[in-house]
Amino acid sequence: MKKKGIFYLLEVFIAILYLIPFYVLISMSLKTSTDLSSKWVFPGYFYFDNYRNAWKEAQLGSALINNIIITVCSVIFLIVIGACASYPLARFKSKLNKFIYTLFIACMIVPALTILVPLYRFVIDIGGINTHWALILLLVTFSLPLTIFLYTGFIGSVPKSLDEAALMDGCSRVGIFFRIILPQLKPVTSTVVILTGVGIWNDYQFSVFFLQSKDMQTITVSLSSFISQFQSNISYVAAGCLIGMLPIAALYLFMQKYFIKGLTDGSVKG
Amino acid sequence: MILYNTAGPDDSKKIHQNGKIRIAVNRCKNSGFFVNFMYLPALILLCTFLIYPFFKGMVLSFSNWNGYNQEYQMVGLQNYKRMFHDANVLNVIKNTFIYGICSTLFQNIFGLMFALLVDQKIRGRNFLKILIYLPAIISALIMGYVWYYFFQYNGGAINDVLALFSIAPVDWLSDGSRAVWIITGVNTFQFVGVAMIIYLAGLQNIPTQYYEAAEMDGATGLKKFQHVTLPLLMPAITVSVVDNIIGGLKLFDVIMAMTKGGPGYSSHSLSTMMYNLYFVRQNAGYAAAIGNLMFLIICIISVFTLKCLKSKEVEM
Amino acid sequence: MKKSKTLAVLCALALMLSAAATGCSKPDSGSSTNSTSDGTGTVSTAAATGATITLSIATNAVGDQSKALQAIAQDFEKENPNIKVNFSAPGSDYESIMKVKMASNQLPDVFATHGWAVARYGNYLEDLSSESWASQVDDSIKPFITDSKGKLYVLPMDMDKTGINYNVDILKKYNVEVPKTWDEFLAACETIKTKSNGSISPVHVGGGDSWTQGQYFDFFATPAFLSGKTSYESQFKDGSFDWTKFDILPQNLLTLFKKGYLNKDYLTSKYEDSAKQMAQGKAAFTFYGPSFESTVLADNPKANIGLMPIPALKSGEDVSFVGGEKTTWGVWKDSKNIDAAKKFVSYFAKEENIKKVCKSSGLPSGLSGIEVDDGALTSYFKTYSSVKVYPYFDRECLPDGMWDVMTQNAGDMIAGSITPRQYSENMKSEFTRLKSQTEAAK
Repeated sequence: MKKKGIFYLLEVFIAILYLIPFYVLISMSLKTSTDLSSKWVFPGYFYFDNYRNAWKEAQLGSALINNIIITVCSVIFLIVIGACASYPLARFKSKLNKFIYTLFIACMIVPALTILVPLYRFVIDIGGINTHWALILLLVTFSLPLTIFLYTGFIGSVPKSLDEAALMDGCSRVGIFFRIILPQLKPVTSTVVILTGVGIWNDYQFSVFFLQSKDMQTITVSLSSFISQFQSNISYVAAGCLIGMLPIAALYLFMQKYFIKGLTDGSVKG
Repeated sequence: MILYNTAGPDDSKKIHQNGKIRIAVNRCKNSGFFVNFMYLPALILLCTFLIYPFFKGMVLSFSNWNGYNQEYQMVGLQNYKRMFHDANVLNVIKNTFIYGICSTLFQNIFGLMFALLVDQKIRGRNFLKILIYLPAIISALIMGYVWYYFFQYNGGAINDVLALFSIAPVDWLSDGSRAVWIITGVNTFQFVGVAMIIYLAGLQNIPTQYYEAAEMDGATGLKKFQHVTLPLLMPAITVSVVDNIIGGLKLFDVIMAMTKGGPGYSSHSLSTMMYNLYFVRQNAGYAAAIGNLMFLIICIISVFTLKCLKSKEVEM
Repeated sequence: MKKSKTLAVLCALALMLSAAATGCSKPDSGSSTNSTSDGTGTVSTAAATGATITLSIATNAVGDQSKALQAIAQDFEKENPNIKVNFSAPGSDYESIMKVKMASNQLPDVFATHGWAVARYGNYLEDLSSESWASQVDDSIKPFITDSKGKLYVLPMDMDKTGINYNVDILKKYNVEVPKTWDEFLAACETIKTKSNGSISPVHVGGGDSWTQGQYFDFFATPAFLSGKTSYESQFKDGSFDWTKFDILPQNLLTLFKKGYLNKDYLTSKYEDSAKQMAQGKAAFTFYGPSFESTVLADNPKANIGLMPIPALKSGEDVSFVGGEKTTWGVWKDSKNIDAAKKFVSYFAKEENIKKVCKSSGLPSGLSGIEVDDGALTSYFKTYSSVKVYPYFDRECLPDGMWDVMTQNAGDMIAGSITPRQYSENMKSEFTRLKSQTEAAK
């Protein structure tokens, strides 16, 4: 039983460690700007004006809607394009396919900044600046390598005998994908949705350059310019940060079972 | 056998009846020719939005472009020569390695430890699991700001605690090398949950018979871990490590939020240095050269790591 | 099959949402023709037909200054119902965003030039010399925003006239006179430091914000190289300056640091920390200028902040102010809505609007003949009305891009990684590189 005691102690210690940043953030966000008490001291009052101001100034309402549209569309396209692409790469390891696979995976390494200006010019030429669809295409493209990596790994673990059986029954190769493989992909799809969805939701490096007007911007971009505008008022900044993380944190807390299950199911076989 | 909508017996007759063309098409289908078209959309997207701009960007490394003028000249290998003589570059490469490799190391070691802890049958483990993973879904920019308020000199949360014990406040982020470790720590804190979850899954997938078999051979705690747990966790380790390493080597948001790479150049990673050279120092050509260096380094390290780990994987 | 049904549903959902997305991305839902210049909407012919025009406006201003500008822009929208204004104030990312836009040759219709109207944005700006307000441009700022051919680059809403902020109460408390030379400045710092037992930091610089470190250099380069007995201005401009003479500038900063006159967290504190320290009476001097005052007052409305000219390097020489552009509007010369853009700018040139802008920045008006109420600062401007205003050192004497060389090397030097000599050498090599770049671009 001594063992259990140590475990409980560790648990408490780690829990406190992880709760501290949130505690400090909340306490900062509830103070007025002239309250200079230590960050550990929780204010004796609740000054909710900071939240109201942050919401209004950073236009977080429209930013939230933009975020939802962009993330949902991106993730759906990502799954469809990624899963389709992974099937031939996992099953038919010809020389060409091996090369294509390596190419896709290598793209994971390319940092967004190296391609920023040529990309910016290109997107202007196709009329995509300050639009959601152009940003969605970009975010999908950049999440494709990881998606394909996870999907090919997972499909590789689906026994080939299933394919053979289907083939014998006259099913086409493409048909095999839709009828045999796809149903099996639920676990890894959850992993993909979570890993890429969170990344796309929190994206900053693309959104800051490609979304220009306040009514098109996402939460991270609005929040960032809000922070530079009001940096002298850290209560505003704290309130803004909290509101910024609220949507996805709330989603996570309600769906945490699925989040974690999705992540575990998909990653083990991959 | 899985049931699905199969071609009926009549269809094979139809195929024969409609002659050679039909057979040829079927043969094509069966040889998987059309299947390869399935990765075409992905290929088109990647070529248009990633590969083509990437090569265009590479060309820039041979120019002296300042990042915004309409004209610039080609200067050959000048930027690369400068890279070899730049004293800052070596330090930045060192920082990048620390960010990438040490972050990954810490994340995976702690991740495994946390996973082992949460795997135990103790109360509140679900709550702990949720809590540890929570920072991973928050934007790195926000996380950087939150931690900045901890390490501030005046009024920072940590210095306040020191003041309680009458210890003089420390300017934590003023020393470059110390700042690098602090940033690595913050990055670990944020993403250790991801590793933990992956390892937890791996742990829960190891059948108990293996442990029982090991016990029958007289193995105890540590030995069980070494010979049963670790080898069977390799697939999970591969995924976790490779993903973390690439992310760590590319680390950007947290650094910008906490120190912006300062003081001077001392806490830059290759990606923040590239950003700085491009937008702040107006030396886009040199920035592109650094970008290529970064690409090369990440390439080598990730391929090496992947090969290393894949070779150690054990079939269940 | 169940799964293909789910796939079909997913695809339908995606299509619906992307339709919503593309719907949302059009600035107007198609009722009237639309045009913006930086690719944010469809292109159409000019305003004459009465169709709605959307102007894209961008500024680097933040906080109160940006609020004031935005309010005036909204008034403009009310008075011009066929012109819609897209106001963008991205804060610290402004310059990066502008650089990407310049590189792709797609700028906003109207934008702020923050001191670089001629040197950086010059090639992209429309000549405004034939505008109705052009003749009112104040003589002291004219040389900074026009060129030898008479092209007027921007509307200067206010004029930067900047010097050192000081905490009036602290100086009074320790009986310190406003220093007029560098030696007097050092003595003042020493007095404050010793008499307060180290609890007050004589100088506070929020070095973590980078640009704050450059302020010292821009300010004190003036007495060192411009306003003293010998002016090195022409030597900088033709590239013949002897950089060994530059050492004194970084050296003096290092002296301030070594003597303990700078705040201990010089490298990591930020601009708002300077404001807080001043507000709490824990710092005496800062190198920010008039706009700093309102930030301090926001933290402590009772604070007493004064403005003093920059001390001379050697006794017998004069004190000086640094000045030039602050809040400006320039018009993109390739804008598709040039007439509407010019109208927008002219609106800001109206007297009541100039007054609003100046009140928010605490500076005098850039157009002559307009009296501005800068609060407490007005009395200081009056006291020092005869002090000569020199252009910002980095804008006038250094090629575009040197500002960040100065700030980053300052950080390195204070952190102990380089010496003042190396500082000057680094300045020299970047100076040469950037100068040849600007020559090439001309």
